[in-house]
Amino acid sequence: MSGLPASASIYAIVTLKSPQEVQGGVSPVFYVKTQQEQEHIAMWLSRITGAAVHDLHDGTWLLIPV
Amino acid sequence: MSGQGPPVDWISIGLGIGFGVVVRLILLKKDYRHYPGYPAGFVAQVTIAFFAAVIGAAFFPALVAKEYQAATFLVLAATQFSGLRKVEVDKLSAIEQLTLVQRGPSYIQGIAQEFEERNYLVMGVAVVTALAASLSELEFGHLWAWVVGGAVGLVAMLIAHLVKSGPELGDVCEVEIAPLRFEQGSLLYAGPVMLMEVGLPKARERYLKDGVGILLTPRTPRGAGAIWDLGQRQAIVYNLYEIIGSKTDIGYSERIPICRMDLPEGTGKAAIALLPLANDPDRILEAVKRTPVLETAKAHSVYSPALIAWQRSHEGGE
Repeated sequence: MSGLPASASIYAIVTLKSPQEVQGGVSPVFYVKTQQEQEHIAMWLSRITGAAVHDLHDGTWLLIPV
Repeated sequence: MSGQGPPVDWISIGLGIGFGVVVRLILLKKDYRHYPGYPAGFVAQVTIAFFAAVIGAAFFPALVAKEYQAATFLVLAATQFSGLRKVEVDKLSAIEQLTLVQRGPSYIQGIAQEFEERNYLVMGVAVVTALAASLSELEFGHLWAWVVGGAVGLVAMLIAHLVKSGPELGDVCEVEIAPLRFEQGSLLYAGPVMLMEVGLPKARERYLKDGVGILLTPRTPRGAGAIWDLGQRQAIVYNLYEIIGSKTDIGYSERIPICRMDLPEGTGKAAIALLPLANDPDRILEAVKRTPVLETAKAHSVYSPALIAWQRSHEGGE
């Protein structure tokens, strides 16, 4: 919040890709089928956790704690 | 003071205290834009200013009355004002823990330092006023003590008003509204400056609907140095959040206002994205312009390599 990122950790991953392509290391992965579902899940996660949603533009969205 | 010494110099002490407190009241008026809060902070500041004025006003009469112990004790009391700064820093830092947009350490130190400095100004005005009144009373009598003391007090007040604080951002930077837009789908731009990646489509819609972009272009080397400083940029964003307000809360992290430099080019420009409570461009620009240029952001105006590049490009262009 002070302008500098607190850490480089990833809170959660929301992806349209298959479990073979995207796997969780330290953060949970939410596999979704449609863009609409992706928006829905990402927004809920963002509002619940306070993390910001970032788009990798390959069908994968990241939730990064602010 | 002791009963055996010369009579107490009430005119000079009274004038010193009077002008000291008045100068603090005048300086306080400008403060309350951001700090201190009314009425508790106001009372505290005026009371402390009164003590500073007493110390300043009594200093020279104590010397004249050969009360050296009293005079040295007054000097000792003056050191307490640096303790005040520490208290301010502690208080503001504690508040930081529960705010969405923080002042940042640079701004906090700047505010605390300014409060300390203003007590010294009060003391200085009181010393000079009391000294002038005291001397003219010794030489010319009561009436002249009032006249000379009053005149010197007014001049001292004027000087205190001039040195009270440094420039504001509007003095060193061009501040203008810049349109917000998204490039490559999700990169938020304000004018030429890329600010951040906004992943949620709903959040992007919100920025396009309600958002305001503000572009900062340095006009002087001081301004260029200042906005390269992260603390300075946080202070600007804090001022916007404090004065204009932002449609954000816990859980809406993508809405927190941010200020970023124009990169990768590094032209020295900076931009802000804000979701204001009320979209009033004049007030928004005014809030940015009236942000104080922080003392801690000064070093960059001399040492920043970016600034040297900025200066070169300007010398070359003209």
